[in-house]
Amino acid sequence: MNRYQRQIALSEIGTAGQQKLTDAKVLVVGAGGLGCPVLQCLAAAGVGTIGIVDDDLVGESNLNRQFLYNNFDCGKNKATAAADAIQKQNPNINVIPFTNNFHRDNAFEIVDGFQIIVDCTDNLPTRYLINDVALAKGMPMVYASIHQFEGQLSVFNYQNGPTYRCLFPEKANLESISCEDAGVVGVIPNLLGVMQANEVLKIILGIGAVLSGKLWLYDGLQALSQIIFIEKNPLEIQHGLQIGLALRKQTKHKEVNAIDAVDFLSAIENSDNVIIDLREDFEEPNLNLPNILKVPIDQMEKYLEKVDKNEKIILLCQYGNKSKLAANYILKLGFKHVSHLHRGIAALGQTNLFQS
Amino acid sequence: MQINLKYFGLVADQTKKKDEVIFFEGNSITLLEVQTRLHEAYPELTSTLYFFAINQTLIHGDSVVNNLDEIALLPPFAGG
Repeated sequence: MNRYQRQIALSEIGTAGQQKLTDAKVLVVGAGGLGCPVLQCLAAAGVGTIGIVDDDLVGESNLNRQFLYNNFDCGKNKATAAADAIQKQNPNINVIPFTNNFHRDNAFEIVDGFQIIVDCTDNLPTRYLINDVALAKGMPMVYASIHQFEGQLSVFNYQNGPTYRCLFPEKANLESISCEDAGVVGVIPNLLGVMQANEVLKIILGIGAVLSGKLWLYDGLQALSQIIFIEKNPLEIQHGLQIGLALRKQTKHKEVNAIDAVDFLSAIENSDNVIIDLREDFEEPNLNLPNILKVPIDQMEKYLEKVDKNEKIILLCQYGNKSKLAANYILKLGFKHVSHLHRGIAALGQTNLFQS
Repeated sequence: MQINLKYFGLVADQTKKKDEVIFFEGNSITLLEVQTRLHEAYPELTSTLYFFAINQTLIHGDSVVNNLDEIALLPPFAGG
């Protein structure tokens, strides 16, 4: 505990507060300019479980502001590279990288088990998605965003406070701008990210006044900051909640992807797909194709222990029933992309696969 | 009457200033009148996403604006 001695010494934290940090589970969406400082601060403070979502790769043009990365990380996935970096920084915490884009199809699977979402994304659609998911889950959302030398910070959906949609209702067809087009210097996202981490720690510890119902604006060029007050807008909250709940329902009832013979034939052309024939040796006809693995259904789970959860997996069996059940099962094991051949081998009857 | 305007983010890029003071006849006008004046002065704003705050409180919809009020034009920032 020597590691946390200096923060335990604070009367607001103490050993009880440090235990709260150890028990906390925080999801950081986006491991870029805002995400890097958030992750560094949370890891250093000993937040026990940290999830990192980013499907982007580290690029050289990120290095002026994303201080978790160096030249050797270029080309690596950001969630993985960030996870490696903060795990080195603090080996005593659990770090979970998610290498997918935070998307309406996977959002509820990703946030499952986390208590706080930190919005470190770089686009408005994902910010609305985070807001709606946070509303449906009853989780606070710690928001920051930047534009050149300016930054915005707030905490949404905290103890039934205002939401991102109360601040910025969604409006189509109007121009906004992304960070890459606008240009950015390292100090601004790092400053805002550290402020986000401060709000996260206050929420976990239950100390101070959380920045809810207020938007903090900072202008680095003029060294000016100010607060704008945000009120709850029940219609916007209802709107976001409805979208979030509808998405959650879809995710809950999500079925495995059933593919037909045509898609199956193009899938076997692609050696990136893991295609598993679940049939026993006696089941005919035999498919002698180099890309198709024969793994009987009772050995499937053991076989999949060696397979990355992000691989595209396609299962097939004689009639499509076993493969559907097995696909549903391995989705629950955490595999992200699972399909099965609809109607099984019978679906391939009219194709020329059996001519050999 | 005098209105104090503050511009942020993309709005400030388009007005090419962070703040300015504008004047109207009378002692009370509406936010819509202020917006109309601004869109005449800065046509780019008509296609820009931003919201108003009057005296540091976010306002959705029309509202009364009084002498010496401070009006901020706040666009959502996307960057991160």
